[in-house]
Amino acid sequence: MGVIVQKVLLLSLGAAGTPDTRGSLYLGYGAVAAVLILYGAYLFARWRRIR
Amino acid sequence: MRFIKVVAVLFLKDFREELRRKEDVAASFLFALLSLVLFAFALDPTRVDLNETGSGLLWLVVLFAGSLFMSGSFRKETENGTLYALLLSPCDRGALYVGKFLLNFLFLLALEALLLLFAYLLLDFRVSDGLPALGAVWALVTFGYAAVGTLFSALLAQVRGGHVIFPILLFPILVPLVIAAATLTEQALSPGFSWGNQWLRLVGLFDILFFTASVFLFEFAVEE
Amino acid sequence: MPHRRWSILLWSLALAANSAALYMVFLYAPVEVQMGAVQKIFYYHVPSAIACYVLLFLAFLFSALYLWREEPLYDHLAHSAAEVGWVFITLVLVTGPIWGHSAWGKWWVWEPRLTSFLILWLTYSAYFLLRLFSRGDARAAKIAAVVAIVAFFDVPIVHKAISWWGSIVHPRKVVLEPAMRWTFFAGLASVFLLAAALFLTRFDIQRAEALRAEKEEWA
Repeated sequence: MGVIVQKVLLLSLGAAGTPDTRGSLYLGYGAVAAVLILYGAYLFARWRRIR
Repeated sequence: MRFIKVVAVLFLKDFREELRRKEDVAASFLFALLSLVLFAFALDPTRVDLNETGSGLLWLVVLFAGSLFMSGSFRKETENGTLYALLLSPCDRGALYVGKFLLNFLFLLALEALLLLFAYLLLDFRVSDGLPALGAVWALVTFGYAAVGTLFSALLAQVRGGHVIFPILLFPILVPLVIAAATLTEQALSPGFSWGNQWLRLVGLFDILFFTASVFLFEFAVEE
Repeated sequence: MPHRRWSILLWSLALAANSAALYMVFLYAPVEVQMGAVQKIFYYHVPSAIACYVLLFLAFLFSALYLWREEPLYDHLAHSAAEVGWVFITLVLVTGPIWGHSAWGKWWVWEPRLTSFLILWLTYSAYFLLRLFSRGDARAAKIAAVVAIVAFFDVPIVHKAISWWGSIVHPRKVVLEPAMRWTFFAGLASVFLLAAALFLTRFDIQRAEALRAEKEEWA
């Protein structure tokens, strides 16, 4: 399997000609936020238990 | 060398003990056979040719049945207090590990031989010319398996529920061996097996690395 | 709470960096041709993977130090590093398939790097299962330390084995335009600061709990 080099063209956000995958993008970053918030909640709960 | 003598003594002690006890060896062998049968039911040998897909599958059976045996390896010693006695004695901790490792290694080889026999009888899994290559490959992989398995057995000997965590902890570490075993088995059974192939080197590296690390880390595994 | 000032500093920096990075991701970085907007998950996905490796290495380092020195401090550091590392593995495994589903049409493909992270996740989940099962004493800490060391030694071997095993097409080298490169660095800085802040917080909690347990023992 060779090295696949992708040339990326500069396009402005939302330009025509690219597939609209913004939904997945938001889902992805939403998931990141969710994981971090969940972990934060867990840390907070542990912190509360110490007091 | 004194070290080798100690290892031999420990190994023989364990070997005789296992022959006398029988239950751990028997349970593991039986479990292996049972797993093979279950796989046959799950996969339907009339539709699936196990000579093609069997390689990795057999290794899974070795993995499960082998871990059943190894997980109790050091636990047995803690249960009747022999571990403490051994630790108090002036023998090298490393020898304790190597002795147990040898026992597990040889047990696994016996298990694998038995498994190949039954795979042939029940599922017509043919080895024929590939036997020497297969034997060598399986011995190499088993070496790594026994190395890490023995260490983890000692680690978990006194942990509550250690029997349960043993496979969960061990199997992810063994993933490279599982992939290598499946690939190499297939290669060993096809013509033109090359001894210089990269998978053998990977397994060799795994074996050396983890055996050495285990001998060294064993000390910490059994410390009070 | 110890390290209060460091904590506040790290969290402030993390907040600032992440805000800047998110702005860049959504409003500055260009849209990639073949995959569209979803490719931008890359800016947090890859840095998370890198942060993982750093944290797991730290867990290994602190575990080794613990075995050498037997100072509980090192055990707390190792535990915290492993835990935050595990969170970032989870992030990689969550963002990967979301991106992948959009690009491949399936949630999971046995692509080498993602598969390696799956094994990593399983390995370190077992590490925490072990922590759960064992009592939190010095012996349990030693056992965990040995596991962390073995697990880390295995990381490169798992990677090699899986990359030889998997043969699915995945962009190996991507040429980034300048705007994308800057955004990537912003993502990298943000993720690292976030990891550092989380690590410090987690470590403080771990130490506070240990102190509390000690006090209760004396009571």
